[in-house]
Amino acid sequence: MMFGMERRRAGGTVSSMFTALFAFSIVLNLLAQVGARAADPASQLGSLVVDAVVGVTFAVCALVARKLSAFRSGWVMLAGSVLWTFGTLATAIDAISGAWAVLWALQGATDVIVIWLALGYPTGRLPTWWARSVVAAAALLYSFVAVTRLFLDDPGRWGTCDCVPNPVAVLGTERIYGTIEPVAVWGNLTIAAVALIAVIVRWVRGSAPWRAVNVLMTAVFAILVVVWITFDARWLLPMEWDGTGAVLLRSGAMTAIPVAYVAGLASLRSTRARVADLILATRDWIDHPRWQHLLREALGDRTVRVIWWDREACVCRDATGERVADPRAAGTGMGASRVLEVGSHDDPIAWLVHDPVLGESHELLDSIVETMRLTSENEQLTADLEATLVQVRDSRERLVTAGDEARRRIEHDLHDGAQQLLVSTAISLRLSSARAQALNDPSLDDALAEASRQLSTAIGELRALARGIAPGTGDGDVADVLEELALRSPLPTIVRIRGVRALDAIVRSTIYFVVAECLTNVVRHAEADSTVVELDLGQDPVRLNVIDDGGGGASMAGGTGLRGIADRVEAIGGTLDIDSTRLGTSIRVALPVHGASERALVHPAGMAPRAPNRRLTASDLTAASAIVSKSSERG
Amino acid sequence: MRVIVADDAVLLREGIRQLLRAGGCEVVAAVGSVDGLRTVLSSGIAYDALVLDIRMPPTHTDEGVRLLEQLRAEGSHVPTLLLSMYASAALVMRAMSCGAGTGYLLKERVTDGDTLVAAIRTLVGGGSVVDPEVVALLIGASTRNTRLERLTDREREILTMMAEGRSNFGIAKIAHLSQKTVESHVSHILEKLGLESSPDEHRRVLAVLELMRSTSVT
Repeated sequence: MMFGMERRRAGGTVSSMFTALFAFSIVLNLLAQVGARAADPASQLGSLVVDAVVGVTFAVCALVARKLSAFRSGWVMLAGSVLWTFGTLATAIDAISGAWAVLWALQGATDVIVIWLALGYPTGRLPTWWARSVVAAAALLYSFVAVTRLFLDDPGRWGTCDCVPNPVAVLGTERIYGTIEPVAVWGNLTIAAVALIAVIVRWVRGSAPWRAVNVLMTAVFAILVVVWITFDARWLLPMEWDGTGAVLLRSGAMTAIPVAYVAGLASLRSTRARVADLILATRDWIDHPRWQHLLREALGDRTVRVIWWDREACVCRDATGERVADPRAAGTGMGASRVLEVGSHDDPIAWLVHDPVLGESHELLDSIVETMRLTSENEQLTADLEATLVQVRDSRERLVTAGDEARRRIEHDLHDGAQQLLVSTAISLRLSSARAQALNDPSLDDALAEASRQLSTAIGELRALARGIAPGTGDGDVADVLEELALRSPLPTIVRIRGVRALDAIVRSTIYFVVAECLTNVVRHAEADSTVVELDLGQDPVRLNVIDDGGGGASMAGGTGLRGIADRVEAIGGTLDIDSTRLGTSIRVALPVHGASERALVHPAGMAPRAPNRRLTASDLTAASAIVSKSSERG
Repeated sequence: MRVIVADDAVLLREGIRQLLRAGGCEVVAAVGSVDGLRTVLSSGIAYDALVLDIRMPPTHTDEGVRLLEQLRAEGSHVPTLLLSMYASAALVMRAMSCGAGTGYLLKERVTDGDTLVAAIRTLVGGGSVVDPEVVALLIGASTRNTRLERLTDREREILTMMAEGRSNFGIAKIAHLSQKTVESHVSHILEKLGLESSPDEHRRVLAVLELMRSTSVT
């Protein structure tokens, strides 16, 4: 947090420094033009305006470059603007101050700035050693020129100009300066030519998108160098050339440099946006045809192909899913294209088949490959995780089903075994008792009666036990089950059921357990007056709500057994929500009709599905009463 | 009386057969499955009543009630006594909705042969039989019913017996009251509950059960 704030404040300072320098360069430029006009009313207005345009254009483009987040080049252009102004300023003051010599000496550095811009395009950084060397050589040479001008050039004293003598040019004579100047000029031209060659080589060797973005800048720089050469050559070669035209041409070419620069930046920015699109499209899931399309857009190369490795089938497929030859195999007809592998050779993800020139924009390709790798790994991890989740969900459901099944089996065994046995024993006892009565043996009769009573108790206890093991789930459909629960609840309980649907045993028993638990909780904790149980079978998932008008306070953490039923509900792929306030509690459950996994529900052989509306309705009851009253009238 | 017994538990089937025989009934067939019963019924054998276990193969849930529903749908009015290990109000209501001559008793109740035979006789006579435990369950659940609250203890006691399917005569016998007194109680009860009086005992049972149940389930 602290760092963030500090940085923002520092950024603000830099930003205001930038703005101040921008304003300074504009004002300085205008002042210089006004001064130059005042110092020499005979000077041509046109050339002054052109002069001003160069400086102002540099400054404005610096501002735009900065906005386009090319921070460094913004500064470089601003420096260019200020240095350019020095030339005009020198003319403005050369009649009144010897300081003109310093400004004149510094003015030449604008050319170094332009070379820097051409070679450092588009980041403002000089990426390679030779670019740095060229700029360093240019800077060295211009330093030499500046020093020569400062200490040797004194046109005021030699009478070649209307200016005050250069105060520091104590050593210079016209002859010495006249010898050195052509050397400096030839040096300049050489450096400019070398810079031009460097820029052109870089352009030719660049990738297609690089060339597209860079074409304007390269062309403008080439024109400028030609103009420079021509401009400077007129001093050296016997050429007839109109001075004004030369100045106009030179200024125009200079002006084009920052303009071309920011135009390229804007174009580059849209490329970046396309790459950002690409990365966004890759983030979650790779849609192969769309991704190939975006990749082509981003790289500006319509021929790029993506070949995907189908891990399951162990074959290669193109973006449309067609099977293609393995690019790893030699002679697969990739032609002059280059193949870039994503992932490792043994565990590939994909291959980018591209034009060799794209290899130059390796940063772009690297980031694309890395994004693909990350996304692919992410996809793999997600798939693994989902598979694990499915396994866990399935095994959870299997556990619950197995538990239910075991309970049902035990209850079944008790019902068909011990309970039937005990009841039939009770019948035998009764029959024996009848025979004992016939024998007129009271003691035997009493003993049998006592045994009968004990047996009756045993039957009752066993019945309760069996009922507890697999409660009420065998009594018919879910409506019957809920009705039993409502009947057995000490609180008024209204059951509302919408729709009819055959449910899996596991879903039915889950509904039973949820309602049983909720009703128990309501009685124990809620101090409610009534409860409503709503079951909507008309939709999948089936909705079950248990609502009471008690004091609330129900939660998973409350030790109310809600955690247990929530686990059970979740085990078959359902959800359970609790909404408990002082005005009452509502437990809302959604259950998939067929549990967590799809299972076909088959009616047991020979069992016709039951008619849905077998339950008596209020109107049936009215009709029954009507019949009753009619027959009573007749009676 | 000729009775057909259907129960998938052999021991119980035999026990019931002996009880019935001891009670003076003739067991014309004893079968262990729904299909077996169907075969016997379609064989043209003469019989007066059915004793039907509710839980039978294949699903061991409500086969007995389903069969009864099917028989009634086919137009058969054979008196049928359903036997169950557990008291289930839902199944009782389904059984009673099948019309007169229907009974529902817990298996442990019929270990007393007299009860079993008496129940069958009631059914054959056109009456209804409902296990006291189920009635107790319904009465317990109905205590919230304001209409039931208006009943006196005596009336409630008589209502319970009405719900069990007892006739006025039967109630008089058990409650040690004159039949006239019982009739007067019954008409009071029906009036208080807003039910019409009827000579049809089964309709009376059904109306009373339905009333009790409707207080808790809508």
